[in-house]
Amino acid sequence: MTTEATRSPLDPEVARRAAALSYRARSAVEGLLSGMHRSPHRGPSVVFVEHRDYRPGDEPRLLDWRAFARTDRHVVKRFEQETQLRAWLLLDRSASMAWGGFDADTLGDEAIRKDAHGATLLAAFAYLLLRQGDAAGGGGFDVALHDDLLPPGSRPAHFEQLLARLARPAAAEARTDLAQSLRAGVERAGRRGVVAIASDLLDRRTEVFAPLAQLVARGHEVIVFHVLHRDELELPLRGAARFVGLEGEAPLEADLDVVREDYLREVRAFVDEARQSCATAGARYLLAPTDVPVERTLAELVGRRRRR
Amino acid sequence: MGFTLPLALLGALAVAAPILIHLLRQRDVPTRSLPTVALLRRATAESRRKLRLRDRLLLLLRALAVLAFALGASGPWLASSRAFDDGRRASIAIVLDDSMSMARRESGERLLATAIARANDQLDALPPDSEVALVLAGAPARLVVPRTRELARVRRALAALPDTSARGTALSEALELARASLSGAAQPRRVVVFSDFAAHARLTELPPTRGIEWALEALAPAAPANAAILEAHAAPDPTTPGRLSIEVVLRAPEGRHALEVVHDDVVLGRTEVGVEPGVEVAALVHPARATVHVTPPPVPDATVRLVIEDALDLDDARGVLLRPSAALRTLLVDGEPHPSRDRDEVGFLARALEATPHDDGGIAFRIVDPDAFAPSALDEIDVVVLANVATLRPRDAESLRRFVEQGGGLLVAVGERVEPRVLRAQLPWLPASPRAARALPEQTTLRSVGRLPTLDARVSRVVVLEPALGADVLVETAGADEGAPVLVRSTFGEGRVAVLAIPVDDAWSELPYSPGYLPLVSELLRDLAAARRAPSAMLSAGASIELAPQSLVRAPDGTVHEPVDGRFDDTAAPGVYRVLDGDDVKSSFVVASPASESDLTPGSPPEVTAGDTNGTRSERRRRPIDPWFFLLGGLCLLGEGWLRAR
Repeated sequence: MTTEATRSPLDPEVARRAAALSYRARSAVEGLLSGMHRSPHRGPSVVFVEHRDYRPGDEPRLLDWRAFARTDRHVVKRFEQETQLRAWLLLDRSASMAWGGFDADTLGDEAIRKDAHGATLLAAFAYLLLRQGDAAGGGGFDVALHDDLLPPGSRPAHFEQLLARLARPAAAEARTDLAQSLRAGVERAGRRGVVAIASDLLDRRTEVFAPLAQLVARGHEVIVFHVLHRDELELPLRGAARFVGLEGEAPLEADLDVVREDYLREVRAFVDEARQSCATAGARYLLAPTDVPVERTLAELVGRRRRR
Repeated sequence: MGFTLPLALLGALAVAAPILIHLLRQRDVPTRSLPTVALLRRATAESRRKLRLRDRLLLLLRALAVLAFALGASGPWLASSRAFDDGRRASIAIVLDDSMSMARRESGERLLATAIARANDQLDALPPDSEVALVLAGAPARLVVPRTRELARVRRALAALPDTSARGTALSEALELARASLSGAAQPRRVVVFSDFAAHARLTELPPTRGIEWALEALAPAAPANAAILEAHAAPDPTTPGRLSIEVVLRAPEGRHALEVVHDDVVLGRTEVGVEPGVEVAALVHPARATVHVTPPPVPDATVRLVIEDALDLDDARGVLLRPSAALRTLLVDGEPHPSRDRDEVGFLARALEATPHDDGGIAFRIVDPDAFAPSALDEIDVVVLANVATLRPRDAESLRRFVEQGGGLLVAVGERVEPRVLRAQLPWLPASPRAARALPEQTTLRSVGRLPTLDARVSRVVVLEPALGADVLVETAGADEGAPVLVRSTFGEGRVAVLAIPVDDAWSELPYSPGYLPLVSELLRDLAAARRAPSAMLSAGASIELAPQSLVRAPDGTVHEPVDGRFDDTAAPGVYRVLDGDDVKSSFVVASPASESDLTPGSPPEVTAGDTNGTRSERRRRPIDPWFFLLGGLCLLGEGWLRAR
């Protein structure tokens, strides 16, 4: 087991800043316990939803006497139920996520690998949710969902288990099959909740975003954290080099002085395409470069939610 | 081009360095991992071609820079093509050899083109206010542009020169013309000669001049093998009526060669000639003879062609006149026939005509008595000679008048039997009125006037001639009796008439024994026939020929020319020229290349000494060009840097 496997993905300072945030699900979610999120069911809250004809067995305190005075009918008031949110946090553990930039060898532990950044991001998100009483679970995926997926829970011990799963390093040579993993996620997600995915999305097959739409159709709120290293975004090298992929791609020789502009154009197109595909599927997309603090990404997520 | 430090050329081996670096660099590029390599692959798909091009350009520039520096360091120099390159203002006569041997190809370019380029180069080197004269050394030597400050005029004349000609070489005459063209020039006088200085030019010394600097530029030091057709004559095939035998004399390398007779690209006959090793004439060429038998269609001319690739193509073909009527047809009316030819009135004349060269068709003649003179036969005659004819029948006199008016030629030679009074009455339109004969002093001789050959013959008696207005006296007496007309010629109608005041035999003069007799007779008869019929003759290149009015000439290259003032002199190209009357071919003549020009054996230019010529022989200068190579290397490096920075 490597050092990364044993180290907690959630730095206390990050946790402290994440705790200051508050996340509300955009759509109604279904939880076992009451909480701060809207539920599709009616229940004891202060948010009035509708009137319904009185039926024997209804609590008399729910009768709307003013309505009775106006209409001479017995109706009861119904209120929105607030429930606990269940979040599935899925981290891409393919080989391409185990990349820490061109200077990774020089920087050693200082290098920020994409899988580590994704794990921190999801851990902070889980900590945020658990702090407000919601449940979080999840694990990793590469060509498929890993078997040790942790169901959502809200106890502190459960959170420690989740952190341990997120901290596991990516498997060498493991390829990404985002579609396959998400399809399995659709089956496992169960009741309506939040599905958060941290991935570099380097699986450019056309059907890769189709399962996202299925998750949304089943009432889940889907969040995609697109984790990319700054070196991937800007390619800060000069001269010619032979480039090898991390997931078995054929090597390629290129002179970056010549191809940089074209590469940056391709990267922009890739990011735009991912953003557009997520929007089409109804998922929320957030670009999460490794050099951007996770709490800023979470703040963007929460901020957007607030604006809505 | 040469090198001062040839060993420095070894530095050119360093060109391998950038190539090796290029290859090693391709092999030693660092390996980097990149998750988004798929995106990079898509990006490079567009720029890979650009990258490859840039890499190759970089390699080329680097290699070129190394080469340029290595070449520059070896001290390269060029032999200056300018004879006088000192930038001094001068009066220069450029002598350009445009003879046929200059039409040979050296390294794919004709020597004449090289000479023209050198002459232009020489003009470029001249400072303002220099004077230039242009002399062409193809026979006959011509002063094309007299001394002038208008260099553009000289350039135009150079540009207008045809790239080939069949002219012989008249280098000595051209140098004389060049010398004469510079007389009176106040600036330094210089003559630059561009020629192959072939051995056939026989130029052994320069004209004796003072104060002229000479520069002799020999353009072709080597002697390539050159095959040539030297002669071609057509004659009736004695074995088969209607067929012609074309005798061909040629020079060719050892082996078998095809010989063709063609007319307007139609092959009339073909044979193979085997050339055996024998006497070597020039570089690896030997003399040979061949006969081609053809049954020609009714065409007046053809071209004999030797199918071979050699240095000089102009002499591999030669025009030949096929029609026997190419000969000048002459009717000799013998006024005093005699069984012995020596005592016959036209005996000497007939012998002279038989000896006339046949390469231009010769002169065919028929002798008749005055009684047998039939006017109807004049349709087939070009010239009539009345030799001591006492009298003519009136209808014969009238026929002769019409014959001359329509372009025929008539020579009336007097004699013992001619009565001047009768002659005046019968032929009153003669160019000179004959009077009584008179004896001449003993030391009286004949002297030609104008273009006729020189005569050296004593004369004892003449008929006194009174030339008509406008008539030309071609021969007159000299010596003891000075200036009496002997041969008078003028035109009548479209024809020409001449009166000879002495007989054509040796009765009154020693003219038949004179070396000039044969040329005189030949040229006189051709001159008299010129107006009636266009000549079918063999000419030297550059010669002028007299043609009937309204005639047109189609040159061998197919272009049609109009004679100027009845003369045509654009005969530089070898081959068959056709004289046209409308669309019909009236006759043909052949411009033949001189056999000597086919011998390309190089001679040596005469030594220019500091004696009475007071001149200097120009040396080929070395013009260093290493700065250009260093400049090129620097530019390559700049370009490499710029390309690398992009």
